[in-house]
Amino acid sequence: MGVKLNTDNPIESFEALAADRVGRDLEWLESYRARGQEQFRSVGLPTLRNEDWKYTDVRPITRHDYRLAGYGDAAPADEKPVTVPSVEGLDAIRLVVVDGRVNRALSDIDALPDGVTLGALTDAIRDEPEAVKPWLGAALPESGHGFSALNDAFVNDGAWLRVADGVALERPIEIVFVVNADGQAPLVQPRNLVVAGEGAKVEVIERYCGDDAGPYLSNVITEMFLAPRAEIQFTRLQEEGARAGHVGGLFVRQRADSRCTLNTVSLDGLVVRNDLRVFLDEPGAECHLNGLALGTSRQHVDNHTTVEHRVEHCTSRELYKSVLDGRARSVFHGRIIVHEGAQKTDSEQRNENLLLSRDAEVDTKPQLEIYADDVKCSHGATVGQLDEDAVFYLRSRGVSETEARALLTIAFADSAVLGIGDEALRAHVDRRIRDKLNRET
Amino acid sequence: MAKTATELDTLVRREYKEGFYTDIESDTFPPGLDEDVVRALSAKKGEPGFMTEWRLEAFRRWQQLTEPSWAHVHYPKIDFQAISYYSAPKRPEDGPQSLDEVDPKLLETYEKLGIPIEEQKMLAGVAVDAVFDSVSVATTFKKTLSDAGVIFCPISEAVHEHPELVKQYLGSVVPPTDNYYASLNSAVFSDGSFVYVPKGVRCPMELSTYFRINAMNTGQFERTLIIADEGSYVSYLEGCTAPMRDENQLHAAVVELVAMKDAQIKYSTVQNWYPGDEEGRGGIYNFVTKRGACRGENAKISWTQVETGSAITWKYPSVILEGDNSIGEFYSVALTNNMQQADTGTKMVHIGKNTSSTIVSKGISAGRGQQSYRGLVKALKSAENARNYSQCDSLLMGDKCGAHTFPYIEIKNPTATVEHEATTSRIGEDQLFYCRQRGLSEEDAVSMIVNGFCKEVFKELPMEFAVEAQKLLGISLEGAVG
Repeated sequence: MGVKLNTDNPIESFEALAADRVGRDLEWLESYRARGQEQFRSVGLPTLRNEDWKYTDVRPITRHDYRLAGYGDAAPADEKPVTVPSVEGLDAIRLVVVDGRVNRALSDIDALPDGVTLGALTDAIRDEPEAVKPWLGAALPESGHGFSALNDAFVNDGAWLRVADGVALERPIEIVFVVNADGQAPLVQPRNLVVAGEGAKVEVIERYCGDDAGPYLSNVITEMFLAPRAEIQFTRLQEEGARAGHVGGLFVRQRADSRCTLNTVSLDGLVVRNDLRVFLDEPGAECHLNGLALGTSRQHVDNHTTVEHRVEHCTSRELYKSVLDGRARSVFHGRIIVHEGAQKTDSEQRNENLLLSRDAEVDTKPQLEIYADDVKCSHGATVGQLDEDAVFYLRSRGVSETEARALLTIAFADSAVLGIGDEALRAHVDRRIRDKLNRET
Repeated sequence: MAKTATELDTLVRREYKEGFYTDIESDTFPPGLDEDVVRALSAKKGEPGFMTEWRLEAFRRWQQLTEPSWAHVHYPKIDFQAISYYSAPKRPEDGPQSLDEVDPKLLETYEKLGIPIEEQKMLAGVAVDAVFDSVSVATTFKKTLSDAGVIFCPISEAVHEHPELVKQYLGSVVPPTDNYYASLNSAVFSDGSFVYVPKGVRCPMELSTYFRINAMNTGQFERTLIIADEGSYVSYLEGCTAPMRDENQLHAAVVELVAMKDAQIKYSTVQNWYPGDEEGRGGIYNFVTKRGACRGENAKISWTQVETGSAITWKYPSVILEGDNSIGEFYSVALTNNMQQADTGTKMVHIGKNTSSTIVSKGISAGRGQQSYRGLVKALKSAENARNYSQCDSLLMGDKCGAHTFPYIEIKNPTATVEHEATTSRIGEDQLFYCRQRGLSEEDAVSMIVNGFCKEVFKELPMEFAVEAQKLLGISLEGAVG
């Protein structure tokens, strides 16, 4: 039995399924969920009439009969063999989340460095609810869309990562989200919390993988908090199944002099929507946003980013690129908001799009909203094709036309993933870009 | 520094220079709007049946629409039933044949504005079709124009004398169903200008119209229609000022431009309506729909605007590039000071092959002004090799103002090349310092830097307008920095 998000009422329908959610005795948690339900009832699923979803039709991913996954006991690993695709040469502390539940057996979290807590959110809520309470929902904007309300309403499991003050991790933390669609159309809604203490330093890698067997929907939210002088190097690599929907929220709050790099790489999936929002809450915070969307066939990738400069002396840099082939479509909506009083803001945003086929489409909407005067803000957006001069140059050097085009395309895409810290991961992304583009061209 | 600031303050605070009110008995409808008012308005103007029907159709459509709220502006809700939809100077029937017959009070008004018509006759060969409270009262240089075959007359006259042209083109670019304010305008438009330039004619002079809003509580709904037939050229200037007033006045105009094959239309605006006082009281609401269509190959439409007035400006002069190789241009300087709000920009819709568009938008925000650039560049699948370049710069003066940029880019053709760039900053301390150190007062330095910032746009304006625009900008800005 499944639930169609677009016609059935998911709140009522999922209520019974989510009965064995964690922390039912915690009043604050239950009321948090109730607020999510309330919010969903009032906003519902987004439609094209909604300005923020003007270019993204969610019907292809809301019409399936979804089964709510991620409740009850985590399925023992031996019941159903799960293959966790790995990244060649990546040496990381690994947490594996299968169908929305953290799977300890597949994870490698037994010997964590001092000062690091990494595990299941359900465990954290059970064992130390007071440690979770201040963070849950604290990075979300006041009014989210229907999908994020749905995640709120059924918040249960996901990754819980805390790095104590002054701890600098050498190995990255890798969180792998695997979905076994298995014709069951699961709806997984992990909620991840990343809390970095004062001066802490960590690299976090989120990978989303799934099989191509059938439709499923990942509706994920990650909240990230940086204490003063904390540094986070974050990469979200999305390699979902070919028929999957992926609605990913990433909400970051930064305190004084903290620094983060957020890489969002969208390679697979059918309809993909990323909502990224950074709050620069205290002076001296700095963030770097990089994004790459590689769309082929009928893929649809929608990147929404918002950087809020709430106080003075913060810096933000943003570079989002897309390469589109087949009938793919990419949407970029980047907002930079400079609040009143946020003087000495330094902000740059770029969006570049490369169209390779006649049927591809790009819609881009870079926005600046500025309420302070002593600022330096700029944004730029371009849409175009490969530079014929560059192609000619390569051809004159004896490179075949196909190869020249492939080279230039890859070079274009590559520059958006240079911000990825881990070399093995970057090499993996490079390979994936090459494979995907070569397959198409 | 403090002393300069006070001096500057007095400059900023000075009253709106063009704030005066000419007392002419008006023939005015009581406030309110329904089908009967639309019929009465049409009857009053003695319009043929097709126009009455057209207006009623638009009115019915308007009733089904809701007021848009997406723009980045805030204002109290407008009561459309509290507005009077017709007001004409006293003697419309025995319309003045020459300037001598024009009500001396009108002439006085123009003199106060510093734009005496009799001087303009000689000056630069500008023909003036002056709109004073909805009915055109003076038309000059008609002969020169008619010798060239150019039709330049109030649209109310065109309805009678050239009904086939009006029927064919009115609403063909901005349909009566286009948007809330365009529908309203279509239903109740009072008057405006009509221009038809026949095939191969280069209009012998710059055409210009001065719009004024005069009587109390009279929304003015101009309708302008300009048609440039094959291979013709016309340059049209529109300048606006308004008397000082406490109540908000609504202004919802519609301007339609049609450029056929090889034709070129240049449309320039200097808008200096009453912006309200420092607290934002009064001031004009300027909700305008302006759109041009390049119907044939190699057609070109160019919009240039200098927007310094109005409490709220909401306007997006657009170009539909249908013909192959057609060109659309948009040059804009918008200034908001005190409590002014402006949400302005353009739309360039590329349909034909090798179409190109250029957007240069300069926004200056001072005091507590809020300003948004909102633009759309759209390349349809058929727009092979479409090219767009957009540049939107904002200059901020004062820590209470805001500048926002909302460009939309929708590309469905891979050969299209689109670039958008925007920057926001304040006047560089180093630039100011350099000028000061060379002996310029801060005031002059700011004025010079701002004029330099806007130069790209000013150079697109016809000469007389460029001078006026620079002066306007200087006056509106003086003392904004201190």
